[in-house]
Amino acid sequence: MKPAGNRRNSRFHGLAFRYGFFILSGILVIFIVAFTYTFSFTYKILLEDARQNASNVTQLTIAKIQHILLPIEEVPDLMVQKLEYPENNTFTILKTLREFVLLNKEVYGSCLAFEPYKFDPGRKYYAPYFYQKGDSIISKNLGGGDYDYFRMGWYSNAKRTGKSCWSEPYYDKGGGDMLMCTYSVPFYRMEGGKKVFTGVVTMDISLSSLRQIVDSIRVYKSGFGFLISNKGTMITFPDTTLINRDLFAVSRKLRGTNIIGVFEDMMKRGSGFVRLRNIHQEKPSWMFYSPVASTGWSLGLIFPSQDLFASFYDFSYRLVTIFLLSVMTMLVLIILITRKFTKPLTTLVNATRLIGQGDFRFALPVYRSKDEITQLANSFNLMQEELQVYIQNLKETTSAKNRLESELDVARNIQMGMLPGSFPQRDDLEIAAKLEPARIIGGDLYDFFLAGDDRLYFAIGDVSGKGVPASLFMAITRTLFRSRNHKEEALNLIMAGINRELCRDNPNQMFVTFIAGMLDLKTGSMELCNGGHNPPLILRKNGIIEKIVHHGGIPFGIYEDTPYSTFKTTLEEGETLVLYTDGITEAANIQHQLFGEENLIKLLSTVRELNPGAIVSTVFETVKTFAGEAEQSDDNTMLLVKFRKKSTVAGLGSPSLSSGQEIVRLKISNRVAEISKLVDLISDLEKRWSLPAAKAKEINLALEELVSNIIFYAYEDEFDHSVDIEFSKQPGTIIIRIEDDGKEFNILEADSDIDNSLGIDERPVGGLGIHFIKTFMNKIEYSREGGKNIVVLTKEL
Amino acid sequence: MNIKERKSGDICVIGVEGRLDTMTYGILEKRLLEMIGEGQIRIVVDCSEMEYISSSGLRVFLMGLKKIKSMNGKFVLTRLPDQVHEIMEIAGFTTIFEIRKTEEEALTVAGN
Repeated sequence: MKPAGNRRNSRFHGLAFRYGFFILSGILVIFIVAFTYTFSFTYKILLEDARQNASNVTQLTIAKIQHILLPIEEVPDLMVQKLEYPENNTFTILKTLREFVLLNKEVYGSCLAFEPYKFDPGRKYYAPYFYQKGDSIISKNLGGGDYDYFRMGWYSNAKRTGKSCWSEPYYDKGGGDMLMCTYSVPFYRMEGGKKVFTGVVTMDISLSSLRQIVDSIRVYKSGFGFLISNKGTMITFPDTTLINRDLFAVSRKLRGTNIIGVFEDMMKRGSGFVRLRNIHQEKPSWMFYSPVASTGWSLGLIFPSQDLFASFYDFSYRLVTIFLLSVMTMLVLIILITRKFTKPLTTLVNATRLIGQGDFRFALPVYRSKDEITQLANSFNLMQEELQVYIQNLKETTSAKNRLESELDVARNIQMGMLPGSFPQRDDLEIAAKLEPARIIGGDLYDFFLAGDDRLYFAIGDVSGKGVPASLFMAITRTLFRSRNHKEEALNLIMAGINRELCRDNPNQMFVTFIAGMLDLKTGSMELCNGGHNPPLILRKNGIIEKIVHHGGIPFGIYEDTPYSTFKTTLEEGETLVLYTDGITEAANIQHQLFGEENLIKLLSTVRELNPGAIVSTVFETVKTFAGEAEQSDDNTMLLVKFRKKSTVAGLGSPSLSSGQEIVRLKISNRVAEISKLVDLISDLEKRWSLPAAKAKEINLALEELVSNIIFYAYEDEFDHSVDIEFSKQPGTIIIRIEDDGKEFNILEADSDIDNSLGIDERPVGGLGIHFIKTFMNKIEYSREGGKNIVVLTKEL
Repeated sequence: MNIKERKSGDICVIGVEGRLDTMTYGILEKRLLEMIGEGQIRIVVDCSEMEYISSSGLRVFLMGLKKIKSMNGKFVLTRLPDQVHEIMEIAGFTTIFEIRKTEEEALTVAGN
């Protein structure tokens, strides 16, 4: 995270900005709608006002024009009436006209034109004309030369129509030498009872003075008026170049889209209020037009939109300005207010960043208001305090954990040190073992040791669970296994003893599967006692891998009083016993497939020729390869015992065999009925070996006493045990070896003397049997080996 | 082992045939206790057909003797084969038990 970039970003994504943005957007939308409505409504009203106003201005202007034109029209009209009567003095009339011209500045000139020879039969042209020149009035008689006034429009039109009329503008050369319009009124005289056209009375008005009249009309600031004649000729216009031009020329010049149509309507004496895009100075404008009644002209008034709607535009500008100002003010206010409210948040953000970097010293201010942000800030303060405490605790815990872990390392060293580190270098035996714990310290164990020269004890076990508790349990188990008296105790009793000890104080209800075994290095005979552990395997010489499935008892630590039984087999020279824990067979790969016993057996069959150390390494490597990336979930342990050759050391009770020797073995269990097997064998041997009947009976009696003693007294449990009896016949002697795994009982030390002096009531019931044995046997030997009582009886024949 | 019983007056003669050993003594012990329980306190054991006796058998005899003596009865052994007698001797029982060679002698002893 880059704090600087984040801060810059937060400026535009912060609450203040976003609140301001959203609120203002809303206001803006509402305002635009309201403004649009107001604008269009106001526009309509103002437009109507403007139209009304324009109409008024137009009417007023027309009235002004009329006011000027009316006397100009009235005077000739009045004169005409007088002229119809020849008795009236023409000169008086001329005088009146002259005075009128003199008094009316607007009037340029006035003429009284007679038909040829009407005024004076001797004169063709008689047309006295008064016109202004400077401050004086000049009189002139028109006609003659090239000026034939009869053909002039102002004369001929009046004569032809018989009505008074205004002429089109024209350039007068007759008198004024300027642009003018002329008002002509025909007059008639009665001749022979008939009204005969006699002449025309005219009033000239110069266009420049007309223009002054029209221009004097101020339409708003920059508006103007213009006049057109009913033939479409421009009479007045601010742009003087357009005067006396026809409308086509005007419209070409003005390029107004609809100006022609408007002009046509004007010529038809229509009136209206239209919008023009381009007229005069190319400003958007409105035009109001209306006919000037008597003249047949039409007045047009141009109102520039900006003038017409000046107040409206002003209003709008003010409205928009006020709106924009208030929006800006609101934005500033919203940002200020939101900032004020979110200031604790900003502080929190900074504090969080600092805390994230591990700095807890940043103290947050305390807020007194009761809003959510304050609550958050106060919660944050609390959290910060708790975090500090928590982290302190965590630091302590972590250092404690580190300490514990180093202690665990020590524990592992101790645990591993418990396992036998060196393997005996012997001709008769080869041992290999390996333990690979899943966690730092595990719950598997193996052990082996030699008891005397010819007995190898070994064991393998797997404690439920892992870690320290398992390893402690493992250590106890292994210590108990070592501490038993192996010389004196049978394997199954050793097992029962360890179990009892483990059960006695097992608050965690842990248990351990355990196999103990004993290999007799003289003979290769082997005992195995399996307390709930994986079945061991034997790599037999003939290539078979034998799985020893024998339930010797339940795992240690479950029931205190549970018996264990022993399985007996023999390892021939070159055969190997394989013990392992389920960590090997239950090693899982990432697909959760297990390595399995089948794979182990297959693997062993391929590496069986290797030495035990190499077999162990191969199995561990193969299992590791199989598991791949998967974490080792359990301890892996293997123990291999290879029996290479029989020991040459002869032990007690194993007589060296010579020729002619015959050995018969019998195994019976510890039940009374089994004694009959013994009895049967002895009677059989009596025949086979031609024993004297009395001797056979004595042997029978001694053995019955011995065996029944074992059956009745040697065992403290209710379970099967076996008694091994071996008869060997040598010349003149029978040697009988009896082996039991019952409690230690030295027959030689047993009190068996019969005191014949005692009376019937004092006689003890026991002791008789041993007395018989001692009586009938020639030699009795006793030894306690490997938890077994071994009695060797010699009977001479 | 077989047990044969016959009465001679108030004396019961028990014939023990075969081996009286660890496996069989219980049968005899049970029978003797029954008899004694029924008030039969004059008993002669005929051992003529007894092939073998072990200490277990001797214990049964000793038990019978003790019970019957305490009830003022008679427990007599008769017609012991040599082997059995030898064992009784080795065990020192010959001094404790009333042993007679013939059944008549035994019955006489038992009848007194």
